[in-house]
Amino acid sequence: MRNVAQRLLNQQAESYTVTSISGEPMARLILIRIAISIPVLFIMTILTFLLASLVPGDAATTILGQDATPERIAELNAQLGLDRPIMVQYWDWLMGIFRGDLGSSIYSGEEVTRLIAQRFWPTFFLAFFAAAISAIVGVTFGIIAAVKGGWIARVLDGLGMLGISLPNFWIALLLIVYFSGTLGLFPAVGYTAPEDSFPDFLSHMVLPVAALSFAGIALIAKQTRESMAEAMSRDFIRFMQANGIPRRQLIFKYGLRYASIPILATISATFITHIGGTVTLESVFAIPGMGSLVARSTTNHDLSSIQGAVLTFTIAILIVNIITDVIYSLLNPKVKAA
Amino acid sequence: MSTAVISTTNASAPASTRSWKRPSVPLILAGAWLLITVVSTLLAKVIAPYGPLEQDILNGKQTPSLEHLLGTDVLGRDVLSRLMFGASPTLSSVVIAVIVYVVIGVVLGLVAGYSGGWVDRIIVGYTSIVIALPGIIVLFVVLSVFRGNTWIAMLVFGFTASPVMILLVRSSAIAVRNELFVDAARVSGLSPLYIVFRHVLPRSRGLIIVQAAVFGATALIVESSLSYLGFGTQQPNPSWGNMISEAATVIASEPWLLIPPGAVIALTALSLGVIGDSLRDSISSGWSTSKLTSSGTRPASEDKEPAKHLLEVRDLSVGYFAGNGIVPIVREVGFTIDRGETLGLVGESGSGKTTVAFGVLGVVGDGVAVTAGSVVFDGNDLVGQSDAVLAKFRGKRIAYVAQEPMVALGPSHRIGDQLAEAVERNDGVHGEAVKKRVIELLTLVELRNPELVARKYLHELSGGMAQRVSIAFALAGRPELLVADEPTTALDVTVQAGILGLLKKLQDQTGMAMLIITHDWGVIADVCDRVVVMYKGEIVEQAPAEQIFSRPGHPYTKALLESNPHGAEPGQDLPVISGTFLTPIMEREAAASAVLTPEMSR
Repeated sequence: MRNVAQRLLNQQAESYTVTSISGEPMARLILIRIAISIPVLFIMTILTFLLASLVPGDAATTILGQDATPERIAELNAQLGLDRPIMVQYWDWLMGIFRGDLGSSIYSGEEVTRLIAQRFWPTFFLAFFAAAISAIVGVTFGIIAAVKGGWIARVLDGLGMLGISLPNFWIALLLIVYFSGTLGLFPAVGYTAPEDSFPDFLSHMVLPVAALSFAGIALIAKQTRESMAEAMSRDFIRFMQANGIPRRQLIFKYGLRYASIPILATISATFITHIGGTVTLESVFAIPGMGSLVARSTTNHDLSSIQGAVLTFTIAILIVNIITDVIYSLLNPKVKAA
Repeated sequence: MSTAVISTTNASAPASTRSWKRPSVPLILAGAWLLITVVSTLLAKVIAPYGPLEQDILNGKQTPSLEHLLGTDVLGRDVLSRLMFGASPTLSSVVIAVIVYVVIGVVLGLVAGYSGGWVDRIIVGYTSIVIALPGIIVLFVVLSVFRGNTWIAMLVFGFTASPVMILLVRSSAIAVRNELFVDAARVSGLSPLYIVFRHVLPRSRGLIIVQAAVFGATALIVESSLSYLGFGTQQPNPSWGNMISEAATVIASEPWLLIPPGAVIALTALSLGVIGDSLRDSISSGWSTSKLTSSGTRPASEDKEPAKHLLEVRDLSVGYFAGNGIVPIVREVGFTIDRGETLGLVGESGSGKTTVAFGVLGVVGDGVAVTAGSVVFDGNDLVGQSDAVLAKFRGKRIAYVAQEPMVALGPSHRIGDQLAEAVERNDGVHGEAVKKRVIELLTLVELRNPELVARKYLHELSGGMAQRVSIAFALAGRPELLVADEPTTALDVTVQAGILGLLKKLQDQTGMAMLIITHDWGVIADVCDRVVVMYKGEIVEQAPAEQIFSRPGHPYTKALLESNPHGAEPGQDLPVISGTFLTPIMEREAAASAVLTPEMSR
């Protein structure tokens, strides 16, 4: 869904760049993206602070329990600096970012920056592998459906529909029951860092990546099929076929290139969706990543951890968007690379 | 967990033009499932066989039976009943999210699309910020503050997702706003609110419903994820999501318990998706048909027939598949072209002349087929041949120039790269020589500064330049026959003569034959040796060019000549063709039944 909007926005951006008389459109596109990104970062971080201020005393209650006396709570609040005005707290936190200080978890007492540093990579690997698998398998299926048509296309359509209708955590549980329970092929839960044991890392990754990729494959296949069908309906396909350019070239060189921009938008949107999907899947597979940190901190009302995680996720998504914009302007000849 | 609902090309498909079709089987099943779900949710208290918390420890972990249709859980509670009761927290959250999504999307989308200007800019700027927010993460922030309140969380989810709806409704509203009747309504002083509700909103309705259905499926999955993680309804009260997390605790011993709640979520999401997809298909302007022609399977014929002519088209019939039958487009067309000759194929639009050209080239496209006849080029029948056989002819011996030069070449590759590919494939040139040949071709078609043109993309060229480039593309393989389909029609009058002159000059230089399709008698007079006149998919007359002008044989040819706008008197109405004419097949059929009606032939 996000990719439809992304495409509409890209068109918007394209119409700006095409009408712009001078300047470097690709740089412009990226400047527009950054111009959007800065308010997004502020909105996300301010939002967490404002929401937190709606429930004063929350953190202290969490630590001390429901039976704590008001005096004790006030004392702890002062100790944590939570009795100061919200904007002062926000400013402190903001300045802390530049010192690499995001506060400490009120739940475990660990430094948030350390928590994030530990938990970033499992989530990155999970989301990245899932996006890569979704892209490769999805684009392949989509091209087959578009080119072959007939029953293959209908079967893939049906599977695509199913792919976006099945909750990923449920798929994950079914995969665990079968592949780890019945077949005993892969470990059910847990995570091993690649530097500790690469084979273990891979075998732990298979099921979570499979569960996460399911919807991504479906989405990307569907988009590829539609975009390829659109590309193959262009007049230049007939012109080139009549003039001796072979089918293979028409499909894989000219057709796929023509279809690549909406497919790219979907791949990027899928990657972003996967980042969100890690929250549930890391809980299912007990992976110590950012996603399970978010789930745990939400349960424990551990706001400083949430704030750190929000910052990390938001920056990650912005980076994905910027990379998408760069590839987009490389693919689209109407946006001239600077 | 989101999906592309519409391609932007049909974003503005007017809802009013759709025709009601019989609903498909999946659509009926999806509707039935949703109805059953909603009814059993609303009437859970009445129809559920057991209470949601009613325990029967002694009969726990049962597999499905008549007594417990979906079995019992660890505590002996009836799974079916728990599903019925568990639906309401889940579905009410979905409804909240969808309402927020639709209301924000429709209101802001209509305002932006209808007002335009700075209001539009502000709203589009707003959407591009909201769309960049990480929606799922925002959800968890909200949940961490509003402890376990999934309703507020889903409300926020509807908000963070709403830009999609805003942008879709906006583009649909812009399309409607630019239509004449909305202008008329505005000029006649109707209030903007009235126009929006009376004209703009109804036209966007289909789109809104489709998008809402698909978002509903997404919201359902998100809500289930939240309750799976324990942020929604708390145990022992059931919700679809927490029933899965409960089942997950006994996953090793009781895997069956996973199935019912997961299947219910999946079926409901699937139904919403199916409904969205079916509605979309019924409002979109139709599936695009592929222009890529599938290859035939006929083996290459060994016995070459002696070739009297370069090209012999014999009794060629072409039709498109519709339902179970084939609707003819072109019937029993036959003509010949000799080496170095130029044949003109003339007729009104819709007479089938372009289809004849595609038939000759073997590129009729998807869903269209040559149903009878043959296309014999230099003794080889090309109809139904495989790609491998046709590869020896396409581009190498027979080439094609299209009517619309601005869409004839690929838009994403440089002109020079595309020409280089044609040169390598069709002229057998490789390495450094390719580049030289590309420049040579561009010079041949009289483009000034060929090096510069080779570096450009199609959209950077004018129509006339693009047509010269596509002629260069066609000439890459030094063809013996060039099929040119209305090569000047799409161009400015000022460049038409230039292109025609170029084709004539190239023919003189290379000695190639040409089949020129046109509706312009001027083109015929300028370049053609012989003329074939087509009407209603058939050839009604063929004759040398001079003879056609001096002594047209068929009444239709006469009428077509009289309607030539070049000969019209200023100040008079342009002549038009009226009435129907007899085609050869009609005459034959009429003669067979011997009831020829004379007035039909004027």
